[in-house]
Amino acid sequence: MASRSAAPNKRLIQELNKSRQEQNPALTYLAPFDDSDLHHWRAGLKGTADSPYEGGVWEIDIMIPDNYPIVPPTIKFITKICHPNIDAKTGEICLDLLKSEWSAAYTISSTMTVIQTLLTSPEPNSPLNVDAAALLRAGDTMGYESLVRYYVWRYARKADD
Amino acid sequence: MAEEASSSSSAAAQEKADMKSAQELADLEKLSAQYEPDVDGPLVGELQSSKILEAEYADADTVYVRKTAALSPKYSNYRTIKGDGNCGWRALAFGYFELLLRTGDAKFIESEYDRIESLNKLLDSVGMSEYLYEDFVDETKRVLKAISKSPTIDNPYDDKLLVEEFNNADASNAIITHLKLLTSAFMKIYPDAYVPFLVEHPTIDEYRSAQIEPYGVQIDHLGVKALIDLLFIPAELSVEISYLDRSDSDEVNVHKFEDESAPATAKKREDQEQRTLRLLYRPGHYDLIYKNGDLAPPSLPTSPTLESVRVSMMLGQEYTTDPFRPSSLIEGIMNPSSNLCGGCYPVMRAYRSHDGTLSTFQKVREENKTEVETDPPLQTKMFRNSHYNTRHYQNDNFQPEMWGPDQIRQPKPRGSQREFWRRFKL
Repeated sequence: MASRSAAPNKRLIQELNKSRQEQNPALTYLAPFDDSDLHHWRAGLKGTADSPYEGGVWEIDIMIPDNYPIVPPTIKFITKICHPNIDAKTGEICLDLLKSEWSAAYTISSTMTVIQTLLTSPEPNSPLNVDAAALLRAGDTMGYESLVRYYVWRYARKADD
Repeated sequence: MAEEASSSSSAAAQEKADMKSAQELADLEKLSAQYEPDVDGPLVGELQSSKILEAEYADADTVYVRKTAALSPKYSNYRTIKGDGNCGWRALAFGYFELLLRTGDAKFIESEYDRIESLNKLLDSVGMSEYLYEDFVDETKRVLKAISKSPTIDNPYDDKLLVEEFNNADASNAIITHLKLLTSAFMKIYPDAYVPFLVEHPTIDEYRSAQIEPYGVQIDHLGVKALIDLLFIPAELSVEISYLDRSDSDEVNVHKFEDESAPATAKKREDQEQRTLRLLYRPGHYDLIYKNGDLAPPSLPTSPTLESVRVSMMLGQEYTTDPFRPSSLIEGIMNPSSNLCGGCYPVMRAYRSHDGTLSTFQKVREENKTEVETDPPLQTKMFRNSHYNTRHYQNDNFQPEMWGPDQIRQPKPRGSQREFWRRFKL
């Protein structure tokens, strides 16, 4: 049993060291939530500049299964966010990478970069947040962006703002 | 007036029925999309007699009955691979190790060990960091090392260690993940051989990230080709796939993957037959099959019991071998195609006398024995079209065709958002 979890732990430790050496510019931090559990991480995801998400920082919960990296981590938004592919209540993310197209070549850190990119490349045809998707599909970009900004201001402002 | 009302109400009823059936159809579609076949059993099964395949298809379409009946005399053994979406990868991975072990050549396995290690360069060249793949490569190397050493190498036909390793989910999955990453990198570096065959994916990168790298995505023909080009061909190993499907033929169709770059005049190795991995493909699923010569004789689990089970299951009735010819059973094993018409002619039931003497029909059959035996099993048109055929709808034992959802191809998962994130791969 000990050998069973040894391999993914080794990989996770290396990922952690790597992410400490080279800070991912998409993140404010990336670390295990609790030192005793290497399979539960947290991250702070920044909104990209020049987008309605600019200035926001979202707390992300990352659960890493025992057979990671063969199967993907389970990633959720803790901080509320308005985005067509992110469930407003549960924080669940609709992204192929986290489901059918996961590959062992990704890391937790590179996955977070992909999620940051998802923010500015919404896919309104497979929505988890129907209201946000409906605005986009109707072509109401201004309405959509205002809503996003409101959510950023209301929930995801950095503490030092 | 009344007519009008009834016609309008019937139109409304019709509309309602249409809506209902549309709703039902949508529900069914939803159900079938959610359907996941039961997958139990080991990741890699033990060697079994291929007669089991015949029994499995005994009540299926005649095409399957015919093909499985023709299969077992040629391919004596069969090994199941778990249908968890990785079966093609696992079958090829297991088969590769098994072929290496069966060469009994420790030097050769060591050279393959070095080659696999050198393939890390391939992964580096597509920009993967070593720490991302080393765990997987280590597992492959560990198992290669184990089969190149005594005592495993001393019994090259003993598959115990490999079956054990491949049923350890972590080792097994690490090895197929290693092969997936290698195949993906190989296709990226040498795209020319594969790009012309892309159907659903516009670029090789999209194909790799949707079809090759994800765990649990069934390998398709292009992936099989790439993996064989990468893993088997350089080691002078061959792969052949026997397709068991409903196409109209009497035997499984065999496709051989060989080194296409070699000149046609190049001399093949004498032992190429022994260095061939044989896959059995049923739409959506891969298993392994073995020719009699692939295995050492003592490991053949063929037994007379299986033979009689097969025959009785195929015909849905008791085994009716002539009691005065006990040798007929043995003969049947020696030449399984011969006893089907002889031993099991359904007419015999009607005429068989209970005191054990030869009935008129049996006598006639004895006289015409040579003629009967030359017929392929169950193939006389007259028999097939008669109600004596258990697969004829007028037969007492007729059962509608058995059909399972595992015979249809699973839809390939299609992503919609890979466009933007595939660029962010490390």
